Amino acid sequence: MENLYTFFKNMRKDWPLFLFPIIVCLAFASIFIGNEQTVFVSRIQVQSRGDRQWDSLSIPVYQTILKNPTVIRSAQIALKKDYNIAVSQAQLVASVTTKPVVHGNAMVIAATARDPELATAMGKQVTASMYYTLGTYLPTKDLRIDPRATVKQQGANPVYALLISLLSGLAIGQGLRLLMRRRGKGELDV
Amino acid sequence: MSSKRQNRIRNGLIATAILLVIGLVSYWKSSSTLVINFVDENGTPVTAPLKTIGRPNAVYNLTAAKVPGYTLNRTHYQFKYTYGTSQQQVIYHPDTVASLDKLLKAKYIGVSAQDITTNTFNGVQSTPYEQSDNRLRVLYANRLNDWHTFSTNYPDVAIQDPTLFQLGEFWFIAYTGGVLRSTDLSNWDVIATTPSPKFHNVIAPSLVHVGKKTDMIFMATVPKRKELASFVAPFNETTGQPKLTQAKRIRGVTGPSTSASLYQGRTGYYLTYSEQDSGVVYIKKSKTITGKYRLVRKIVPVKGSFYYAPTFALDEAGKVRGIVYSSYYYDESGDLAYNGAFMQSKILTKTPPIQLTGQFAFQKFSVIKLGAD
Amino acid sequence: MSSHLKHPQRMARLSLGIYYLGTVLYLVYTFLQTTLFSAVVPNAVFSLAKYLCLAIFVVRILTNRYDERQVLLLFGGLLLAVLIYQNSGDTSIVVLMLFLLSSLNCRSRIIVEIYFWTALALIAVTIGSALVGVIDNYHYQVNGSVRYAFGFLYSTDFAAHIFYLCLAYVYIRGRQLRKLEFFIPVVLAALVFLLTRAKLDTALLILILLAAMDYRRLSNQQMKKFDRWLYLFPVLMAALSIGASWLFTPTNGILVKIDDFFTHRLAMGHLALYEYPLRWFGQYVFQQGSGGLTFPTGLTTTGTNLAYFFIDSSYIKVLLSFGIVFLGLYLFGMSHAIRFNVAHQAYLLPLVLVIVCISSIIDHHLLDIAYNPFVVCVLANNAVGGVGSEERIYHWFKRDSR
Repeated sequence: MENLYTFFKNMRKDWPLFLFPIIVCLAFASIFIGNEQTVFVSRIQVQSRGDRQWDSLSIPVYQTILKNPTVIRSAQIALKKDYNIAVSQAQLVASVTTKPVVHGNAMVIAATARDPELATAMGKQVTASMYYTLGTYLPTKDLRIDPRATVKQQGANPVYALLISLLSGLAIGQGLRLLMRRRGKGELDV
Repeated sequence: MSSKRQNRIRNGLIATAILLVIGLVSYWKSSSTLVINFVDENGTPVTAPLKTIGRPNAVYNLTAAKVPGYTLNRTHYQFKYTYGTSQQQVIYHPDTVASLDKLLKAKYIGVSAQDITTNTFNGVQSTPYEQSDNRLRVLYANRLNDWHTFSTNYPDVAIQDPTLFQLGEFWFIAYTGGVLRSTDLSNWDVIATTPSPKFHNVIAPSLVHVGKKTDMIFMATVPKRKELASFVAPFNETTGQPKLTQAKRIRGVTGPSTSASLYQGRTGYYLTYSEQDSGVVYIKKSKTITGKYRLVRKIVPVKGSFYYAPTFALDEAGKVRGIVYSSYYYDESGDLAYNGAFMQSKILTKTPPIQLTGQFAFQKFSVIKLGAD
Repeated sequence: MSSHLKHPQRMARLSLGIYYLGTVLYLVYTFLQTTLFSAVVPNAVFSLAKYLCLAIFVVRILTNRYDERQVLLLFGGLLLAVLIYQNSGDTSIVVLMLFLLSSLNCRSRIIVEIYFWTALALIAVTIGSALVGVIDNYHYQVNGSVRYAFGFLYSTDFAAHIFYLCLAYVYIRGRQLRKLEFFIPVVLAALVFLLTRAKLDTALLILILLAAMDYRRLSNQQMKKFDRWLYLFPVLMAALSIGASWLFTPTNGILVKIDDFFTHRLAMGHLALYEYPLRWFGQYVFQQGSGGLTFPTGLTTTGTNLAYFFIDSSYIKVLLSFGIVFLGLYLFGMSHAIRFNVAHQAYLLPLVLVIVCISSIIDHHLLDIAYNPFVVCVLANNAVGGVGSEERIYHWFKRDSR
C-alpha cells in the first residue's frame, strides 16, 4: 500500500516503464493536434414578432426540428444543386448537431467534416433549410440567421493532449509494472 | 491447471471481442471524402467539383453530366473512397472548332469569370466559402439574354474582374493580377503584371483605346493611404505590361469603389464605377482623361441588391453600345450571391435593362459587339 | 509528508473522515438541486459547493493509500474523466469520477448509511418546507387526478427519492429486517401512488418488498441457483433498455403498447438515439422536461410532439452523454460487484443492485448520488456484511485466492 506521494517517489526506480509509454502517447497525440476536422458553427435566432421577446424556452423544442426528415431532405437536395455535394441523409444527420445557447434566443448548429468546404456547405445549407422550415412552423416569430458564423479547426487541445498522454502513459506504465512483478513472482506461468 | 487454461481462453476471448467491437465501430464510423474535379484539357475546372462522403473502400458511381460544347471519352465512372480525402478527375474535351465558328458569327462576344466552387441554380450563385475560386469564361450571343459559353481549354489561372479588349488580331483579357493574350482564344499568353514600388497590386484593370494608343485603367491603393483610387497608365502591347511609372490618378471617383471603366467618346471621356456601400452605378464625364469627372447619370439598384463592376460595351470601331453591370445580394445565410449581369443600351438616358443570362451567374461582364448592325 | 508516514493509521482515518465530509457535501448540494430550493438558493452557492467537493475529493485521493492495481485504476479513472470532460464539457462527470475514485478502500455500506440519514433529513426538510410554504409545492392536474411534488421539481423525483431511500433502508437493515418493517414499503407504495400517481415507482417499491422477503426466505442453497446469471443482469438490462428504444417504431403495434405502458419512454429513447450520435467519450446532451405532465411525445403515429425531450432511461442517458466506454466500464463494475458478493454468499447487495438496474430502465438516476447511493459499489470496498466479518476486507479487483 502506498499513497500517490510514495508512488511518484518510487516511480524513479522503474522510470523507463513510465517514460516510454508517455513519450509514445505524446507522439501519438501529436498526430491529432491541430489537423483533425473542421467545425462550422452558425446560429438561428428566434424572436416573437410583436413584443420582441426572446424565445429561449422554446429553443430546445425548435432544435429537435433540425433532424426532421423534411429539413434533412431539402438540405440534401439543395446541397446537390447549389454546391455539387453528394451526401446521404444519414451522413448529413451524423455530421450536424445542434444545441441551444443557454439563456439566449438562438440555437447553434454545428456541422463537422474533414473537408472545410464540406463542413461549411453542410452547415450553411442545413441552417438555411432549418430557417425556412421553422419559418413555416412559426409564422408569428421573426427568424434570423446570425451572420457571424464561425469555422474552426477541431484538433486536440494541446493541454488536454498533454494531460491525456501523461495519464495514459502512467496507466500503461503501471500496467506494465504489475505484469512484470507478477511474471517475476511466477504467477503467470502455467 | 485446467482452470488457469480456461481463464486464459476466457481472457483471450474477451480481449478479442473488445477489439472486434472497437474495430467494427471504428469501421462504421470512419468516413472519407471524395472530390471529383471536372476539368478541361488544361486542368481548368469546368464546373464545381463534386464532393461526396462515403465509407472507405466503397465505390461511388458517377454519371458525368453533359456540358454543352464538350465531349467526354466516357460518361460512367467508378471511383473508390480511400482513407482521408482523395481527388479524382474527369476530363472534358472541348469542341473548339465548332464553337469558334459560332463565336465568330455571333453578334456579341464577352468575357466573365465563373466561380467554380459552387453551382448556379435558378440564375443565382452564392459563394459560401471563405475563399472563392474563379476561372475565365469567354461567351458569345446573338441575343443578349441567351449567352453561350465558348468551349475551349481555359488557362488554369484564378481570374477576377476580366475585361475584353481587341487590338488587331489579338484578344487581350485584363484581370486582377495580369493580362491574357490570345489570337484564337484557345492558346493563351499569361502575362502577370510586374508590380512597381508605388503599385503593389493592380486591381480590376481594363484596356482602352485613347487616340491611337492603348491605356490601362486600374484601381490601386493610393501610396501612403489605404483607400483605393483609380489610375491610368500607358500599356505596351508587345510586352503586355503597363508603364506603372507613368501612371496618373483619375479624379472624380468618390466613395469606396473597386473597379472603374472608361472610354473616349466624341465629346469627352466617360467614366463609370459603382460605389461599394450603396451599389449605385455612377456615369461621369470629363474633357480630359484624368478628370475631374462630373456626374451625368446614376443607376440605382433594386432594393436589397448591389450593382458592381460597370463596364462600357463597345463595338469594334470603339463606339459605345451600352453599359453592362453585374449584381449581387446577400442571401439568408449572409453569403454573397451573384444574380447575373444587366445591360442598358444607352448610357446617358434610362433604357430598360436586359438581363444577360447564360449557363452560369455572371460576375463582372465585359462585352464587345461584333460586326455591323 | 514524513510526519504522515509515521502515523499511517491516523492518516488513513483522517483521509476517510475527509471523504465522508465530502460525501455529505456532495449529497446535500446535489439533493438540493433536485428540489425547489434550487430556485431559492443562488446558483453561486451550488458552484461553490461543487468546487469545494472537488477540492475535498482531490485531498482524499492524495492522502488515500493504494495497492498496485488501485494505482492503475486511479490513473485509468482520471484519464476517462478528462476524456469525457473534454468531449462533453460536463463538469458533473469530474465530480462523480473523483467521488468514485475517492471511494477506493472505503466501505460502501458506510456511504449508504451516510446517504440514508442525509437523504432522510433532507426529504423531511423539503417536504416540511413545501407544506409550510417556504418553497412551492407544485402539483399537476393530470387526467383528473392531482400529482404532488412536495417541494421537489417533479412528482416523479419525489417518488424516486422515496424509492431509493427505501432501498437504502432495506440494505442497511439487511438480515435484521423484521416482519413489521415490511409494511414500510407497502405503506410508502400506497402513499406514493395516491399522491404522485407514479405507477412505475410504485411498482418498484413493491419489488423492493418482494426482494426483501425473498432474501429472508430463500436459503443460501436456493440463492446459489442465481450464481450463474445474476452478474449479467446489469448488461442485460442495459441491452434491453437500449435495444427496445433502438427498435422502437411508432407503426409497430406491440412496441407502441409497451411504449404506452412505460409512458413514452421508448419513444423518447428512440428520439435521443436518433438525435445524438454514439460517441466513445460522450457529448453534451440537452434535455427539457415538462414536469411530469403526460401527453403523447416524440415519434407517434399522429406526428411528432417535441415540446418535451427528456431521456428517462439511465442507460441511454449514460451512453449518450458519457459515452460507450464509460457505460461499458460502469456495467462491468456493477457486474463485478454482484459477482464478487455472490461468490462470497452475500446476496443482499446483488439483489439491491438488480433492483437498481431494473429501475434504471425507467428513471435516469443511475449516476445521481442524490438518489442512488449504490453508485459507490462499483469501486468501493463491498465488504461482506454481518457480524464478525466486519474486518474482512474484500476488494473487487483483488484477485480472490481460489
